[in-house]
Amino acid sequence: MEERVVTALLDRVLDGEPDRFTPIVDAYTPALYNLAFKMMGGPSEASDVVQETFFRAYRDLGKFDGRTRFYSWLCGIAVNVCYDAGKRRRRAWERERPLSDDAEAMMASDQPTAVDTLMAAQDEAQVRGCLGRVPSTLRAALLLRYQEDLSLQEVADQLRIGLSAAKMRIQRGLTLLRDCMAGGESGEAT
Amino acid sequence: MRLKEPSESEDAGLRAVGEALRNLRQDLPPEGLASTVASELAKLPPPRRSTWRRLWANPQQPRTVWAYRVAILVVLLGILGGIWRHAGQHAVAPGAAGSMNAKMVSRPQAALGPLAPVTFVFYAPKAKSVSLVGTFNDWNPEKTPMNRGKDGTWSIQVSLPQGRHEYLFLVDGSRYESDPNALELRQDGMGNENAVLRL
Repeated sequence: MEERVVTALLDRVLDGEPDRFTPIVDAYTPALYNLAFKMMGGPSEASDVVQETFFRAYRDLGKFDGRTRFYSWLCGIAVNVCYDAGKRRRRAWERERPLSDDAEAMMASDQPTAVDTLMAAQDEAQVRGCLGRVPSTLRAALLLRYQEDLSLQEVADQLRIGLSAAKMRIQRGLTLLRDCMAGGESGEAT
Repeated sequence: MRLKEPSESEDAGLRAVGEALRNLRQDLPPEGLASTVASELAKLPPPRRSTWRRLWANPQQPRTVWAYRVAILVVLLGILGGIWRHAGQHAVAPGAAGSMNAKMVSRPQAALGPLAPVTFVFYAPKAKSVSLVGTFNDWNPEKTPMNRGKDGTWSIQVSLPQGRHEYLFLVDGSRYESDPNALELRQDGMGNENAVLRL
């Protein structure tokens, strides 16, 4: 959806036509779900993340200043929702002892079957599995950059960090991911 | 966790990892998620612009925000009240240059009531005397002599009835000067241009 269309719709929403938000939800739900799925490592909480993201965005719509792309702003909210969900998940683990905190095991159960080849499926599963082991702050930077195609500045803005810190997070995330995929040392998901 | 120092070969490796990330399959939402979200949002109160944003937006595109209109009304009343008090007591406005160097005259304003106090001010530092003459004093230069201030400003306050008045300043008893700030002027047929004041 073009940014000027989004801007026009948001103006109408703020002018008292809340129904105009529906096309925005329709347009961005798939991309936000994709981001949430990969941040959370599976579908179990991705839908909740999407819902909570839109809830916060709708509630705080009056604060959106238009200096960034709306989708970039949404991504920033989604990442924070994922952080919150991650904290809740860790607290639940600590209380109830999870069956497994192995991201690969979790991913395996969530894997869709529609892949072209077995090799491709294995590669994809490996990337996803390793992605789940990267700390969430680095994972967020990687996903915003490589999955959501945000610019480095947008990544920095939405993570509320400096440009050099954003670059560092991406570099560090890629390094950890590469090491994990090569079977070397890997980080622990946080 | 340890962050290795990047090298060129490592950069290539990292780029490949980035590409692998970019090529990850999109995870599609379950059917109906967007409509579920939209229906949940419909239960919420509609969003509003932040207070500062409303204050900024309304002057550019006025909408029906009563607080904004009330604020404008209050400000306008305040400005009008300030002008009223200012003019009734000691209004002074800069005038244009004339043969007496520069001169300054008040913008006469009326107060409520049958007689309105009006202050006339005329800047003439080299003048020996200045008198206010007009229809309200039968053009008699002795009736309304003006008082010289330290800064060369001559002033006098007179109470005038409502209506139309013409006036001039008589400098040193021989030269008539009009009011350069008068809103209205009228040729008197004798070579003078009378200032006109309507109360």
